[in-house]
Amino acid sequence: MGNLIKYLIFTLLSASLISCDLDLTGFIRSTDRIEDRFQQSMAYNQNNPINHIISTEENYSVLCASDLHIGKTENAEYLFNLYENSQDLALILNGDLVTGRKENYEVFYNLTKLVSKPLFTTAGNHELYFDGWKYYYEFFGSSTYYFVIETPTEQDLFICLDSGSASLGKSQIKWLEDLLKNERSKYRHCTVIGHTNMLRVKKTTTANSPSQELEYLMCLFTEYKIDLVLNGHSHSRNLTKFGNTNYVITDPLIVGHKNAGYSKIIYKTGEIDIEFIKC
Amino acid sequence: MLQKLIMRKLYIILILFFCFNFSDTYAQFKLDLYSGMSLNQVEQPALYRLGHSPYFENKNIFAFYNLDLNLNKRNEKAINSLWLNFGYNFNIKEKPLKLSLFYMYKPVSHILNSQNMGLILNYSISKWEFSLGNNTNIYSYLKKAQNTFEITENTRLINALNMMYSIKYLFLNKDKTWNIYLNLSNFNNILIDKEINPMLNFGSFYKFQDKKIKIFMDLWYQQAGLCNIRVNYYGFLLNLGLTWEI
Repeated sequence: MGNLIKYLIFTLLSASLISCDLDLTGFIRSTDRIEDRFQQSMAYNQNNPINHIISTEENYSVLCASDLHIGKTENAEYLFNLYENSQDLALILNGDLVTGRKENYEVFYNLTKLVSKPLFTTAGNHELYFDGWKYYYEFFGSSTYYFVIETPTEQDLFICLDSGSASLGKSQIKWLEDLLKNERSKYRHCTVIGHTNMLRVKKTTTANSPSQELEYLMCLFTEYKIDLVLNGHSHSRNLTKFGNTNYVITDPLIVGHKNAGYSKIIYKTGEIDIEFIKC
Repeated sequence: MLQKLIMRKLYIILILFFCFNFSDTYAQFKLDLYSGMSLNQVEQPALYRLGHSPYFENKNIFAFYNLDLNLNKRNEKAINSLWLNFGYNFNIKEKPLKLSLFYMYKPVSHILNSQNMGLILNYSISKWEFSLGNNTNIYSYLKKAQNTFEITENTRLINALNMMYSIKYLFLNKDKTWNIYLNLSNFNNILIDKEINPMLNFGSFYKFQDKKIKIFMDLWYQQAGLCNIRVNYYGFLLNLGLTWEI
């Protein structure tokens, strides 16, 4: 009986390791450390101006999707075509764009040519597999940056963060803190975007921020009146309001997922509406 | 207001518990005194701590609390954490088990506090110690913060039930005067992390000849991202102290 259980566990582990397209080297030590990635993102930002998008109306909408996991492209193609022909002002893809291999990056990059409107990306944990950060950087550049949408009378701030390592790291946290301190008061709404879901109100097996970091960020978001936090990663839709901040986990856009979909976020004076839409 | 009331009641229960049991000649009393520091991505440059933990055992029941004080950021929060623990020793098929019911109060900042409640079952054999438990965690906005930031609703956040675990291996037999150990766990008396964020703990102690006093060192390594399969350093936590058996 004992041996049977051993063989069963061995077979299951072997099967899962063979079937999963995962880079397991990071269990011991990651080569793509968050501090290094942040410095590279900052270097990229210095040579690339902040993106300002103009809205002709006070109310406008943006689309957000995460966990595309390309390889397969059907859902991404659908969303890119939909966005291209819509009134939405921006498309935010917050992490796990690819499964991690270079050929997936190439497929994804070619797919983005379907879109002529603003497209914003951040890195997720999958962007880091198989030494994938260097390809992310080559194709998309920074993963820590901000952009602005200007309406006729107001402007809204969108902050994109690199949370692929579950922790934002010391330097990125300092950057975020300084940005909020210096800039937040100039804007109507503020949205923070990252891949790894900060809150864990449902049980998941994926990593989240360590508790001390989560607590620190929740306080920071309260102090600077962050309206919306957009995450993905757990593949399980969630909307939790804590204080005045909405914490959203979008559905995954991965092909074959039963709830594959994206979110539409409508910005209005005094409120933000969030819609979860199935593909 | 409700939290203060609960805290007061728990203090009273704890004091009554100690008073009722102190008269018993078979009672055992221990006191841990320690100082420590925490170093991580958000505690900059470091958090210096001072703590004590009186432990009381009588027949099958035991109780302790752990109060961890803030030394260098007292204007933000005076207390890092307070852990209250009541437990019961029992045997199943001659296997010694300990069941603990605990409550942990943690002031996060001038904006938030955190409360944890849970159960832990502990089992130890020769060089191994195993703990398995479950806790529920609630973050709450402080009243003052609710007024300052105009928060009128959604003042509490209840997290998913969290598994607590600890697997500890002592390199020498327990009756030795000194020992070193390795421990994989997601909690200690001042921090409960999520089940997906394990910490690695290395420690050592030395008991003086009369075995009344023991000095110890406890080092915790925190990582981020294990379940993302991209491990990054997150922080350290160090405690140095002594245990006095009275």
